[in-house]
Amino acid sequence: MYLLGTLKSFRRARGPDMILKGAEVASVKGRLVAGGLPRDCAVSLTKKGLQFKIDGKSPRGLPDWFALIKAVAFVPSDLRMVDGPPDLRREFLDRAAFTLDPTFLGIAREYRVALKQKNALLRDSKRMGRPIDPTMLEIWNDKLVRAGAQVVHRRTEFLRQFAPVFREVHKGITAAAKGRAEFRYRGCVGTEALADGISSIEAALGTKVAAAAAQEARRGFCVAGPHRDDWELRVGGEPLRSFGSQGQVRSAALSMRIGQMVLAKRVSGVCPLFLLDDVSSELDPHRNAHLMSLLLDLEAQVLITTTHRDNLRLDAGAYKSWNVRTGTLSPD
Amino acid sequence: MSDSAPDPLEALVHHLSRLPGIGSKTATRLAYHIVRTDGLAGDLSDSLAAVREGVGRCSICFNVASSDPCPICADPKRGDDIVCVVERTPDLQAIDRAGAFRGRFHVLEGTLSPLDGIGPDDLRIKELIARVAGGLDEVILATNPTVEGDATSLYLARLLKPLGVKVTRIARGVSVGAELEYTDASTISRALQERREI
Ligand SMILES: [Zn+2]
Repeated sequence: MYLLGTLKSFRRARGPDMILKGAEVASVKGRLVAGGLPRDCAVSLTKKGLQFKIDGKSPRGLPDWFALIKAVAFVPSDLRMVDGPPDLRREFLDRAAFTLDPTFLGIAREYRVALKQKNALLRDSKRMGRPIDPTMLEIWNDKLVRAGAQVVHRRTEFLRQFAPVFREVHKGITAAAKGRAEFRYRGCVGTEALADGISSIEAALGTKVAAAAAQEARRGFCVAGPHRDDWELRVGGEPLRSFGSQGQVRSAALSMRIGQMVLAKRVSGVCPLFLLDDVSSELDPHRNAHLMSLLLDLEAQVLITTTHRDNLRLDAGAYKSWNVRTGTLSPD
Repeated sequence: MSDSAPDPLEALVHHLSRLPGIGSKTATRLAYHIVRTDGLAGDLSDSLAAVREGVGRCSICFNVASSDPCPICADPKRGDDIVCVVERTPDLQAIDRAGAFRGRFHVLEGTLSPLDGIGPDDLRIKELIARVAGGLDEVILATNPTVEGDATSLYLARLLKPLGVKVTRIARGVSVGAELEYTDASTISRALQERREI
């Protein structure tokens, strides 16, 4: 289900590892109800890559897939969103921004293409030791800055809408809240331009890219742009990644995933499917009860895996359960 | 065994799978279909031979055609003062089918793409500049609304504007990423009508 919902394999296993030895293909199928209609979704993984189908047909693109299949998962590696490398934080931001605004995927793709093209231009001219055609550089910079400014703008817009939702959830499941939680976007565009809107962001990014020209030509790749941006979570004015305890990091990461669901429900009216991989064992009973009531209030469909059922703190009538033993599923 | 001639059926499958959008499975199915269907192999090889002999590029606009100049460049009823620049022949055909444009065309034979090692010298840009220098009122840039198509249009605009010609870009009625080749006639007509100077 994690694969269907995110098109990524659980626990970041590399694709080919999921195919059984000796088999050609690994496939996962699911049925969901959207707008009152049952839809069949299937993902199959071959050595060539991932193929996905809705009702037996290939969707025109990823936006179609994600528009139909909405799922949020909380997995152990999510903790690294708070204290790990920036690429995980950018990934969260871009995925979540897309949930809020499906057109973001197209913008992000445009930026990626412009970035790859400009990188190729820089790399080739460095390798062959010949100067870059200034008009070529100018046009790729133009595409990069336009799409990049949109990326930055939508990311910060998402954080602005996300922050109050996050605070609400976070307060509920954090044992000792040490002040107000805030997100800070850090990167190629200064705080003032960020607050000023798209045209200021474009101007600021344009200036940064122009200023980096000599360095980029020397190094042979792009150094300026939102592909290197980052954000941090601050609680009471302090960055959580440097002072947060394991428990604080955990509840912050969980709050981010739940906040993502709350926001998605507010925007689209439909709550995504929530996949929760063994979390209850680490929250105290009080916080855990709060988490469960939050999920019940959301009327979300939630799938929890746990090794200790008692930790769930749920009334027996509130859920259905299955046992998983050596890879097979059986009703409880 | 290795230096004997390859199995003809295997060779056919191999060549078919070189076509865009055709995987080895489809190629195999097509090959068997060709072998099984009466007369098909003969018809195909005749038309392939004819194409090989008689179809080339128009030396003015680089349209794929069996005559040089191509029927569009040879048509006396078309206006000579506007040239519409496209990436490839299928785009030219889509715009021509839409019927809203009665000037001439220029096929670039691709887009700028450093990733694929394609720079300005790999496209028919020098030839376009020569046509503009020969006296044109307007150049319509009708490359696809993709990142590469947009960048190519931007590049041409920077090059052509100093020559004193009016340079326009078709409107984005065609949605981002969608290719002209697959766009319906009324959308193409609207995109042409609403073109803007860049
Ligand atoms: Zn011609």
